[in-house]
Amino acid sequence: MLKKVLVANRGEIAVRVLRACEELGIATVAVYSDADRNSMHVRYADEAYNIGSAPARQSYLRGDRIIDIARRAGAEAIHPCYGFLAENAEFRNACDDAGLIFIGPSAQTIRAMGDKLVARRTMRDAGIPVVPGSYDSIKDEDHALTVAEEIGYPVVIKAAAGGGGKGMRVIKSKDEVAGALRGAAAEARSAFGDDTLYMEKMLEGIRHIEVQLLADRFGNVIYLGERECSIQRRHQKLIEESPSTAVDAEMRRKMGELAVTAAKAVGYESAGTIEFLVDKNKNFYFLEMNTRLQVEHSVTELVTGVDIVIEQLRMAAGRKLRYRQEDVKINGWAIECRITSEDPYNNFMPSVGKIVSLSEPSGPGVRVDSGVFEGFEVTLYYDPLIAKLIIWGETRAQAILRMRRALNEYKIIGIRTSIPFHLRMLETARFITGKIDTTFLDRINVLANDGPSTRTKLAAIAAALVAYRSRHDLIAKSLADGSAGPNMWKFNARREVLRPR
Amino acid sequence: MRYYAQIDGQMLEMDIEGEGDDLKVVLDGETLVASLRLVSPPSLYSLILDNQSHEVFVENRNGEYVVMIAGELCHAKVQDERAKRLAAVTPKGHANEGEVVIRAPMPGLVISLDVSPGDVVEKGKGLLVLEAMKMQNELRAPQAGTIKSVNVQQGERVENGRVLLVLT
Repeated sequence: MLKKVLVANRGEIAVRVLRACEELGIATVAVYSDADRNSMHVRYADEAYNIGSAPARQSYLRGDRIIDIARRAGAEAIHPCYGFLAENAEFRNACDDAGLIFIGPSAQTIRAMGDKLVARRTMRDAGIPVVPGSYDSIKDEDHALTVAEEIGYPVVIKAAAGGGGKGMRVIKSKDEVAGALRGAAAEARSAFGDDTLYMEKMLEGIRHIEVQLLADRFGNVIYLGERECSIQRRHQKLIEESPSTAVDAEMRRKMGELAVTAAKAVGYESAGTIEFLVDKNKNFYFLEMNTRLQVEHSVTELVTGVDIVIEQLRMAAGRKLRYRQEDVKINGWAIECRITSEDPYNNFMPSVGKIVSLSEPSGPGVRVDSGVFEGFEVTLYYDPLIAKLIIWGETRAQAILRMRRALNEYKIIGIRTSIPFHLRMLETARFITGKIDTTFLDRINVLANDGPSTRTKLAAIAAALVAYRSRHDLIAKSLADGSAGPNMWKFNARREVLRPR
Repeated sequence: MRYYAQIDGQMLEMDIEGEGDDLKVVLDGETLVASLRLVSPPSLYSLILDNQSHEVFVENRNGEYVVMIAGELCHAKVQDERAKRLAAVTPKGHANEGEVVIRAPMPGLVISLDVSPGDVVEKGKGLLVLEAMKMQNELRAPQAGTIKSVNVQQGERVENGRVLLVLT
């Protein structure tokens, strides 16, 4: 087994990986920016090294410094988690050159799947259904018009180097082509330094469903069921679950086997995910492959009982996959709510500040993967994801009810969080009945105020009681201590003025 | 003491008296026994109302109370009878009445400016986009009006609380 691992990340995911190392008896090394000196991952690890100032470009993205520290600390392997350097082929190469194990797939695989156009071609050639569209880059406006005509409007233009919705435009008719092409190219150039574009058919009423894979270096690949990730806001996932209400045993087997074929086609190693788009008729199409551990891996862990990070560490140490496909059974239902430092009642505006009080949910079926604690200062430098609340239930209905009670137990004071959004979301009939697709949040305002409810009266009483109490405390204080507090002369004078006449 | 709470378009009147954990609220002719404790300062309260136990977040912003119960957010304007009478005798009509100052809710970078002085905007219209935490955030008009001034430029880095726009 590995003896010492460097975790090249921060926040909840760094803590998640450190926990797995701890359980396996692996010594750990954390790296941190100036802004993260107090962070949980720094305190959790056996060793911690400063790697630069707060902006990620000067710290968590400094692969050279991270490799240098891994050598100094005598770590054998680096776990990149997600984000930062996780899908950076140059960093993977640099690890190889330094004689360090990068916990993830080869540089070649990362590169092939990172270029969405190369990925589309690779998957088509492997016999995987791919979203209808172009397999070559769009050269100019005329070319775009021809391709759009071929696949039929509406179409989406996307950046080959893309992700997170950047460099992406929906085109409904031919007169929108020129503008969309220019906009997407400019955005792709500024975000990725590469304006290669391609075109896909815009599928309607689709779900975003992905398959979790595990692959060892001996060519063994298994799938761990699917994850439903359709609840998104601006291409950012908010709620994930496993299994999906859209997938039955037969479809799971088909999707899983295709995902395994896809992984084998690129010689995949470690944990990875194939994302599919699923239409109303349950046709599914390859969208992209994520060559890393994902935020939502935990829902799969709860329904399969497989610890994905522990398997990654074992396989990185050269061990064979411990599970065969027939060992994998889906048991119950798991849901994850992403807890972010954003204000859902203010257009999901980032919220920063000190967490002055924190009380996490617990009890049966509750898992909290968090990177924060009471006294933690949330800054603007990094991703707003501060924790994940993951629930297991015997059935989906039980998981929803349990999630609601856990969200009610979750109290974070000092910053605004996405908790109220999740509470309201889990009350909507459409979510409860599983009738969801990727446009859910565009069509339904989960936070709408439906006018006076039973809670309105309670809220009014609570506010009035707080007002009464604070006024009462003020008077008590001024009576107990004449010099401080309001001036009694002024107090009496004001009372005179206000006396009814 | 009589309290007036304006909430979700309705006005609720109630009388509150008592001390400590023994408070009485009379609302719509019904008497409720209340106990209120601040369990996690500054904003999490435990409220027992006629033996019904509730947890509520309450924040006071100059008499405007923000109350959150089970994920539902309400804004309540609370006045006691003194404050109400005081408001009645205070002269109205300040020079800047109706002016809304839009400040940066966080430090960030102005990515785009979508309005200029003199523009007439609807409530909810996107005014500018501020980038922070890797995310672009659109600031929208809190009410309909006319843009009186624009105090920042595209590409400018702004501090928290900086005045971005004034709407009248």
